[in-house]
Amino acid sequence: MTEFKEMGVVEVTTHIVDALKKDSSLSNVIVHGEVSNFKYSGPHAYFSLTEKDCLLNCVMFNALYKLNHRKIEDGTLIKVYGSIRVYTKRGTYQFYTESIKEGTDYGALYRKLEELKKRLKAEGIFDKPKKSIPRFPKRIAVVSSRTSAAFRDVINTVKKRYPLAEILLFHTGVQGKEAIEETVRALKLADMSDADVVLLVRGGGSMEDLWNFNEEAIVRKVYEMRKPVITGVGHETDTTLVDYVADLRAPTPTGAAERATPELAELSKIAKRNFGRLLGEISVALSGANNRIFNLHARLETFSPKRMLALKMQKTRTIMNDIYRLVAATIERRIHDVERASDALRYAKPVRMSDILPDRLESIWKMIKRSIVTKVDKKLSEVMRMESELKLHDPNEPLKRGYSMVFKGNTVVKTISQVEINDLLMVVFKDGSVLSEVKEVQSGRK
Amino acid sequence: MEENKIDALSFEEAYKALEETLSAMEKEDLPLDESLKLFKRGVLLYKRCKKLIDSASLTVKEVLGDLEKEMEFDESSSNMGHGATF
Repeated sequence: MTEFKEMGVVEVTTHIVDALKKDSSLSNVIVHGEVSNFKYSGPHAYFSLTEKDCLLNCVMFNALYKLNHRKIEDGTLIKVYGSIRVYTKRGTYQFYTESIKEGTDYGALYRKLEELKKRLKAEGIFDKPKKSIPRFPKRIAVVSSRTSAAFRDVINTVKKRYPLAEILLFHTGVQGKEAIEETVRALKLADMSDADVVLLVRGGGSMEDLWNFNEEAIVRKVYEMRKPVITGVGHETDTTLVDYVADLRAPTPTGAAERATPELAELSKIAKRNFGRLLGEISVALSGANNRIFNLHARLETFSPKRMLALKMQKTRTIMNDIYRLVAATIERRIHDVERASDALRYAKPVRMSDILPDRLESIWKMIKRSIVTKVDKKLSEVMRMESELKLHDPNEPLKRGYSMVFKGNTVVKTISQVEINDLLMVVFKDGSVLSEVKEVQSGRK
Repeated sequence: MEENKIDALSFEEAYKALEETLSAMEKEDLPLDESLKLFKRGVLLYKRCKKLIDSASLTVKEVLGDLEKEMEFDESSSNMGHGATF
């Protein structure tokens, strides 16, 4: 967000006054233009200077005496000497005129210039394709006066920016008709030299001072040049026709020298930075290589017998530890058992016989009783078994079930061979007996 | 051999060669020996630039027709005439 600073009218006016005072191009300058509305108010004169669409308000204190009461007609071309200042009461700026010089008919000069410009333009001279300016010039040709401030500015600028270059001076006068030929020749020589770029320079001056740079011969020569040309004529605001045909137009001689040269300090910085990057690259490359070697080494280590051995050692150690642990645990358990047993012993009490004897007798008695009962039971069951066996052998028992017994005399007849015809046989039943005579004997069962 | 060649380079040549060397080094997958070679060259080029920068002193000559005359320019004096010291 924009921050606004608050101040009073006085403060802002003071800033404006200071700003104008600081600007050297507004103090102690000569301004030319056409006069309009010249009038006196008391001893002071007020008028305007105009040029094209621009107007400058001027004041000249005590003009009445300085100009000897003379009034200047509208449309007169004059030069005024003085400085721009702020009239704080009105909030306007004015040119405070110290003196006035009435001079050349600039109007006529302008008309001539415009006419030439139009003609050259129609020829297409200004459409000349621009040549590129070499970035690192080895030699810089300067077409200028050897004693000029412009040449000095170029030298100082090149010396400061790019002292690697060599400056070749092609001296020429730069002012007056007689200098035109000289300048064309200097340009020609410069174009034939082994310079990489040509600077055509001249310091600031009046319109007449700079007029040669609008001369057709010079403009055409610059147009023809095979080497790239940089112009730096006059000040920022001055434009001459050579500027239109130059490959590059600089506002001042210093500007021309700047455009012709790289700044060595900057290049030095870049070179240093590049060197730093070079160091960075190599350290990256080296550390990359180092890492690769390290990785290979690590992989190699994996397969080295030393490592195998170490692995085996480790395993052995683990087993040993297991054994130790097992033994220790066993021993501990044993110790624990012994401790428990000794505790039990420590807490055990002796028992008196009298306390347990009755119980014991009782139990013995019970045992005896049990054994006797068992024996009696056994005998009893034996007797019972014998009785039932006896019953089984009782001869009367079958008779009860309907069988009979046969006796011959006192002998029981068990087989037919004991019997003969006419034998007397006693047949005994359960409830009586029959005496019978044998009539027939048949062997075998019927 | 390489060193001698580099020592004969102009600032422009050395400066540009340093830039080229750097961009060559910035290419990926450069073998290490190639990197080292470029690095060595880069160091020499940087030294050359540095030397030219440190020793640079402006020469001014006035060309008079076919003649060239070294000027001496005295900075303390504004009257340069044909002689100017730097």
